[in-house]
Amino acid sequence: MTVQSAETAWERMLLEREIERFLYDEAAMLDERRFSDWGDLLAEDIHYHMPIRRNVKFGEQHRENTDTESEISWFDEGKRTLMGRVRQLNTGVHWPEEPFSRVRHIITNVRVLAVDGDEVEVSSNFFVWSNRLRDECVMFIGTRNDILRRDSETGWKIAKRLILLDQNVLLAKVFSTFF
Amino acid sequence: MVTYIKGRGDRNLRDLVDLETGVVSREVYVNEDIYAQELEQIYGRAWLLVGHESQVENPGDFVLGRMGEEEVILTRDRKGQIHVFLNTCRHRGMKVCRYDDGNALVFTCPFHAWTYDTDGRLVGVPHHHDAYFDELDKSQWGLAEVAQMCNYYGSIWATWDPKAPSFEDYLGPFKQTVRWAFQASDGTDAGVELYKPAQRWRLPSNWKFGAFSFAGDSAHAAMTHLSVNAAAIGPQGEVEGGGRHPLAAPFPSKRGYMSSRELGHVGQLAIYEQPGVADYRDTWLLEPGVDDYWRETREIKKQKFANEFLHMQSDGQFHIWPNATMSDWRILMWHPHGVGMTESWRQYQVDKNAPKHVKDAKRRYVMRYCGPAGITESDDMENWNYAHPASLGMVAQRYPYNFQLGLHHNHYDERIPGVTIGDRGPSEENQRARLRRWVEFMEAGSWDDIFPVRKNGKSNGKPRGGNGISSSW
Amino acid sequence: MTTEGGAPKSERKRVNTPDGMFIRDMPEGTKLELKNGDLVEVTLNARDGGWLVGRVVESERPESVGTEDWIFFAEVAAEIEA
Repeated sequence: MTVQSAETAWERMLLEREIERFLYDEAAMLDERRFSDWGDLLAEDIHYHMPIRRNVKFGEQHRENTDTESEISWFDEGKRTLMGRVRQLNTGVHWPEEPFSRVRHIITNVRVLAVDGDEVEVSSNFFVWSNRLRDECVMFIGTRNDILRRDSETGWKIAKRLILLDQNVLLAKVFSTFF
Repeated sequence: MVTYIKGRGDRNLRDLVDLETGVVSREVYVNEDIYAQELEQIYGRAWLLVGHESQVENPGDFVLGRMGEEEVILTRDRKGQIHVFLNTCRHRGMKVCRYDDGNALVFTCPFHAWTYDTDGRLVGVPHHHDAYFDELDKSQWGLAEVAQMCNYYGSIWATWDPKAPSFEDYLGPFKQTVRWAFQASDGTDAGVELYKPAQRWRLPSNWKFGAFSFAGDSAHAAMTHLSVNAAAIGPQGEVEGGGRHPLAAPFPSKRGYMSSRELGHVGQLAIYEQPGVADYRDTWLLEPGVDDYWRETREIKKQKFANEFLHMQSDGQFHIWPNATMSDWRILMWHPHGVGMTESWRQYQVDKNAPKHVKDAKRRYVMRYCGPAGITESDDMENWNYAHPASLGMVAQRYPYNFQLGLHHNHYDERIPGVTIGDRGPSEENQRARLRRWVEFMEAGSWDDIFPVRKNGKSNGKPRGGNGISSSW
Repeated sequence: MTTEGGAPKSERKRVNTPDGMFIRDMPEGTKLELKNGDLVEVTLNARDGGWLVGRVVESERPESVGTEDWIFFAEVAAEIEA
C-alpha cells in the first residue's frame, strides 16, 4: 500500500479519532457478547490471521511468524468460518463459553499507518482478559495490523486482520473469543 | 518396582483400578505421587512418538520435540542420519537448543560454550587443552541420546529403555494401522509430510483425560460437540446438516472399538466385509478442484488394494500407548506437564505430492477443526479441564470414575487376531484397555514383566487367566 | 623467520584483534592467527558466536598442517589480512 498522508494534520487527527472509536466500539461488541453485531463488521473478503510465533535464530526473524501460504497458524480463515464461530457462540451449548466468560478487550497504541483511498492500515495493541467460572484467568497480549475499509452505506469494515499474540506455547486451553 | 502410593496409607495400585467391575479411583488421574511414578514407569520405558522425518528433511535440520516432561531435539546429522537427543548440556544442564526449529552445524551451549555436533558428539570444550589438560574424554560427554529410535514409514519414535522390544513388536496388531496413517491418499507408503509447525498449548488437566479418552469415547460426541454443526466446518459446508467430517461413500464394514488388551493400543476402526477401498465421494464442495485430486488418488489406491482387506487401516482413529492419538490426517500428542497439566500438541499430515490448492484446503480445514481454536476441539478442552479440579477433593475421591459402558460386551474376530472388539454401541472398552496397560506399566520392574505379556501378574488375590489376562475382563 | 618444525611463517598483517572481533558473521575463508601461533583458515562457521572450524595452514607442529578442528573464539589472537 502506498502511503498517502492526510492533507492536513486536522484531517489526520479526525481520521485517527474515527478509527479509534471504531476499534473501541468493536471491542465493546465482543465484551458485551454482541457477536452477531461484530460479525457485521467483517468485510466479505476478510482475512483473519493469527500466526504461531516461533523462537528462531538471530537473522531468521522472517520465519518468526508462521505464514498463511503454507504453514499452520492458530487462526487463518475468512468470513464463512468466522460467522460459523459466531453461530456456535450463540448456541448456548458451546461449553468453553457456556456460561459465558467475563472477557474484556483493552485496545491501545492505535496508530494509523497508511491511507489508501477507502482503506486505512491501522496498528493497535490488545490486552484481552478472560475470567471464567470461579477463578480461571487467562491473558492474551499482542498487537494487530488491520486493513479497515470505509463503506459509505454501512460504515467501517475489517478487510484484513493480522494478530500477533505474544506467546509461543499457548498458555490457555482454548481461544473462545475474537481478537 | 513401584506398586504403592503414598498418602492416607499405602495402597496397592490394583485397589484403585478394578476393570472387572469397571470402577477406577479418581486418584489414578489426580494423585501427585502416582504422577511422579508415571514419568519413570511409563515415559521412561515406552516407545513415544517424537516427530516425522519431513520436519528434518536436510542435514543439520532440527526441531524440538517432547518425551514425557522432557524436551528433546529431533535432528538429522551431516551424514543424513536422524537422531533424538535430550536437550540439555552434559556440563551444567543448560538447554543447548532454544530455537523451535532451524538448521544447525552444531548445538552450542550458551552457558560455557560446550558444543555438540548434530550427531551428538561433544566436539568443542573451551580450555580443553590449556585447563582440562586434554584429560577430558569428550567421547564420554556427548548429548544424551535415546536408547532406541525407529523411523516407521516416516514417523519417528523413540524410547529411553534399551530393553524395550522392537517398535514393530511394540505395535503388535496395530502395525498396519500406524503404517496406514503415514500413507499418501494413493496408498504410497511414507507418502505424507507434516504441516509446520506443531500447535502446542496447555490444558489444565491430567494427561490421561485426553490421552485415554480419544479413540475410545464416542459417547462424548453428542453432548460435547452439540454446538459444532451450527458452524458447518466440514469441507462440504452446510450440505447434509453441516457435519464436521468430510463426506464418505459407504463400504461394507463393521466399525467398532478395537483394542489390544496386552499392549494398550486402541482404535475406533473397521473390519471390512469385502476387499478393496471405498469409492471417493465428493466432499470439498467449497474448494474448487480439490475433489479432483482426492478422486484421482483414490482410484490409484483402489487399484493397489483391490484384493486386500484393509482391516483396521482405512478409516477411523487410533491411539498408540501411552500418549499418541492419530488418524490419517492428524496427530494428537498428550504430554504430561505436571499432575494437573497437559501440554497438548497437534500436527497434521498431508500428501507430500499434493498440489498447493489441495494442501491449502486441507490445512485450513484442520485449523478450524483442531487445536485450541478448533471449533470442534475447544469443546473437549472445557470438559477435560474441569473434570480434573472436580476430582481433587477429599470427598470427591471417595467416588470412583465409572468405566462400565459396554463392559463384558466384547468379542473377538479371527480376521484381526489379538484384538478385542466392542461393537454393540458405544463402549469404553478402549479406555479400559489403556487403564489395564497402565497398571501393568506402573507395576513392572522392567520390560521383562510387561512384554510380550505380563509374566507374573500380581493380581492382588483376584484370579487371572493363564496368559496374564482375566477372561472376564 | 623459520619455526622449529620447518615451514617458514608467512608475513601476517593483523587486521583485527580479539577486542574488536566478533566471529558470529565471519565468512568462510577468513584467515586467523591463534594464540598458539597457528595460522588457520575458516572453513565452517557455526554462526553461534562461539565456534568456527578452521584448517591449519601453518603451525609449529607440522603434522597438524592441513587438519581441521573446532576453534573457540577466545583461542583467536588476530584476524590476518587475506
